[in-house]
Amino acid sequence: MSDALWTITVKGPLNKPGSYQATASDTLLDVIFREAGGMKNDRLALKAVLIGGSQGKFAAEAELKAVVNASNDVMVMDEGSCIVNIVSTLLTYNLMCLPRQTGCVICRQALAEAVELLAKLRSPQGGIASLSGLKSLVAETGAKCRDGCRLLNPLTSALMLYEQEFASHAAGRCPASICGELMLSPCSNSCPANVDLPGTIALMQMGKFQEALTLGRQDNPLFLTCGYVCEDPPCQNNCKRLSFDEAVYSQSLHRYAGEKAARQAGSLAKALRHPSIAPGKPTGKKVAIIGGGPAGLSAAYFLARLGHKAVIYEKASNAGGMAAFGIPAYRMDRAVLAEEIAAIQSLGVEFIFGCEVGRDIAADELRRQYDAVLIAVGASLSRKLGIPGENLPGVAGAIEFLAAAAQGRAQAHSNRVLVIGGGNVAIDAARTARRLGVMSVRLMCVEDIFEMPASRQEIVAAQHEGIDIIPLSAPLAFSGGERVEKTIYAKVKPGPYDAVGRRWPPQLLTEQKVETECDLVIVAIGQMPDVSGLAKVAERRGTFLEADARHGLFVAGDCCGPVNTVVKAVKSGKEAAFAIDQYLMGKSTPLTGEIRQHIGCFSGPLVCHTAPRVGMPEQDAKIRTRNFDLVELGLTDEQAKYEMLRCICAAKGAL
Amino acid sequence: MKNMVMARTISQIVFFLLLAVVLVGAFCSVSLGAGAYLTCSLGMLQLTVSSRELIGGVILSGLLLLVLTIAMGRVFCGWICPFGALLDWLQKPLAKLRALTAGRFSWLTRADNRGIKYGVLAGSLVAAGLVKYPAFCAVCPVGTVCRTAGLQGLNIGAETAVLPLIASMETVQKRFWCKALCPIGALLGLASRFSLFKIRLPWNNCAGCNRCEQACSMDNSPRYAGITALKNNSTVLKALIESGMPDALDRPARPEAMPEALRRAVDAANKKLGVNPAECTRCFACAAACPVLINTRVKHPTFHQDGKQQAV
Repeated sequence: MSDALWTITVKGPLNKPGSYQATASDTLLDVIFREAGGMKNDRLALKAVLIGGSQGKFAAEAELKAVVNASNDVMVMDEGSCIVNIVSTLLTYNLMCLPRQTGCVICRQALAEAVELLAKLRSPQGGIASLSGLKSLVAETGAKCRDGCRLLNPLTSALMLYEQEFASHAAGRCPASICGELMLSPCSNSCPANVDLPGTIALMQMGKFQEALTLGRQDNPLFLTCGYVCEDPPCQNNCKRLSFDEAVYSQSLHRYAGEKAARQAGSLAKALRHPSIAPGKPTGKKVAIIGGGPAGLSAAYFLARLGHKAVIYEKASNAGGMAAFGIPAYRMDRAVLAEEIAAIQSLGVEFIFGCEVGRDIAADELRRQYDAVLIAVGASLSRKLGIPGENLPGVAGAIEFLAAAAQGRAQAHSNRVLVIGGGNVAIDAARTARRLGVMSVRLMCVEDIFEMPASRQEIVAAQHEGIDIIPLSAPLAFSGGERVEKTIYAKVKPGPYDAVGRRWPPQLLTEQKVETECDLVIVAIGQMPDVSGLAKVAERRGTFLEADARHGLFVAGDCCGPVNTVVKAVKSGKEAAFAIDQYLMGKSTPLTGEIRQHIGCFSGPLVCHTAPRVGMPEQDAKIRTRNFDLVELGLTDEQAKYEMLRCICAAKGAL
Repeated sequence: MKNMVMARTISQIVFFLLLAVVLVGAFCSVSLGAGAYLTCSLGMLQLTVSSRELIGGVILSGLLLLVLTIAMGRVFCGWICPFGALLDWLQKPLAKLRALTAGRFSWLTRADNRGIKYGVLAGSLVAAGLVKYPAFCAVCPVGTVCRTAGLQGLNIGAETAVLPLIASMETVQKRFWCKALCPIGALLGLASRFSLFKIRLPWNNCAGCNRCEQACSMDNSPRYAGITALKNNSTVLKALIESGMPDALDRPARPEAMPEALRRAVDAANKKLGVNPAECTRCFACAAACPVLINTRVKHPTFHQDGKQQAV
């Protein structure tokens, strides 16, 4: 190692901010992640790096990966930061706190103008006008200034690197949920389905559980399903309660609202019917939806409420897609999903089961019969590893395994199961195998345990259930006679840090090969869409499909990009539904629920002292590995009552 | 803080009865004998402008309200003004109508409209000078309430027509008159800028729940405007940039997790900043709505692992 050459001072939401000596081979990412200990909050990845203080520039990815060649002040921002807000603060600082003679006259004038425009961009009055104003201001000043002033540097570089975030503000949405004037509340802004969380919880506080359920279902037709399976929900990264203690446990409250409303109304089916969720005035347009998963269901729900006739073509014998077949029964009550699907059906959505497009009916035929076609086939094929022995019997894809388990077809005729992958699907497969009676379940992933993409809570639960995790390893080959008998794997060395702090791609240490015995291997390294029947219809982009909105062809869900969670699939379906409506009617129709105007306000005492969130009661780890019953038992009445009073935010327009 | 709201309601009722029923017309002008008068501050200015002479008694009596305002802020608007009290009492009955008009008249409800009343103030003074008569007093809704709610009210029906006209603005926004148009409020607002008593944002307790923003009838958005004002303070700005977290005040974070230097800078700056002193009527609605200020002392249960409540 060479001697220290440069001093890098890193500041921001890091574990160990401070000054560090960088050696000749260090990159900025090395300093940030190795020396300064990485991001403080592991749920918020690195977003931006500002080099050189308030007059510095935001660094592009290439700069982060390049070797350090000067001493610098570095400001690090994580994903909770809004770049527009940061730039606005930096420029205000440059305007107010720097000595008068900094920069030339032109630049100082432009700076004052830019601060005003940024403030406008962060308010509802801004819009496109203030963004184009900023852009032309930067361009003009850049051309006029002769002295190479650095006053506007943060703005200039941010406009180039984070153009999308600026455009999003111009369209009235702050992706990081910071600019308060643009949104209802940070939680509902960051919820992919934009559920009015303060509203639903305010209604619960007042004891109106059916109304709460209805308000949630205005935006998310699978509201209760999400109450079971929403993990690491983004709403809880932005909860204002974080200023005291912990975020409100919203998804379990929603689950509780469903249970309570069902108890009050007599049955869940009755609780889900509410006059404010009704089919729209018929427009006479028909839309075919290929695939009855969460995205397809969500699109059908919103299309029905907009007055269009939606017909879902599903190749399986019941709807729900990955939510029904991919999510194990111990995580979600399938009866609740079935009820929610029935509620969507009651809006006039038609289901055609057992009909695979491309086999039973041609896609072109659908395009002739319907005014628009939405492809939401999801990603039902497991990705392959591409190593020898992968076609041996006993090597299965996670999706096939989970679907078989969901239908009761999977049996445990194996004693040693090896799951390959580090995501939530891998954990689901491992925990399902454990419940099928397999004694030894191991999970192999290329990441270290703390870097696994699966949610923290799931990893801990899996470890409690006796699942061994083999970190930092990758399989090289499978061997065996009639069935797979052995897996040969090797340790890996994490690669260099990438722009979000992952050590990727890892290097295989092939000289240290290890053999391990196993009689079932489940490969869970990701999925891709099965587009065999649609190959001629839609354009492909990599493994995903591309929409052709001008000719009435739309895509939603996992088949148009990685969506992964139910709530994001709902969002994708919702967006597609509004895009289809725009295409069919030539104008956009907003959907508003009258219930939103009658939320009211709870006036009793709230929980305002520092108080932790309630813990979810769980089945004991020793017993739960023997059954498929729900692991999370749901909040008790007392817990729910306490937890809902922890939400102190006012539903806007309520007081 | 609920006590303050109660006290305010009582004060409004007492002053309403006193000014509008018992001492009818006393607010506008009452002769105390020996050349001494008691007048409202705007009436005093109008009289002075229209008569073009300085009458010592009038000026002294008009200054009374201004002195009160410099000490306490615009308490007149929130605690004394009988017309403001009327508008406050109309708020609940008209809530449904307000919900219907919500978002429809955004040009009327913009926060910038609050500047209009300063124009009205100037206009009323110019008019008084031109026609040599305190012209605004003829249509002043505050004065009209004071002069007409008593027995003589039935006599001057034409004058009372101004009341429903202005009260109807309540269907668009709470206290629209006081916010956007009232020249008395504008005059007191000018004095209130320098008032000794201000309502401050308890920033280190504040969770940002926005209840205060909705409780405020004067559109002051105590939380949002308070944070914005802090962020435009140069010492706070310096501390923010030096700590390397320019958005530390915008993001949910515990104050004790902030760097010491930043916390001290914010504390110091916050002492000087009040919630928009020119527009705030010191009605304590924001403080009464603040969950953190009210019930931090309420005890709540703790739970066992299985969700059962723990015995105390």
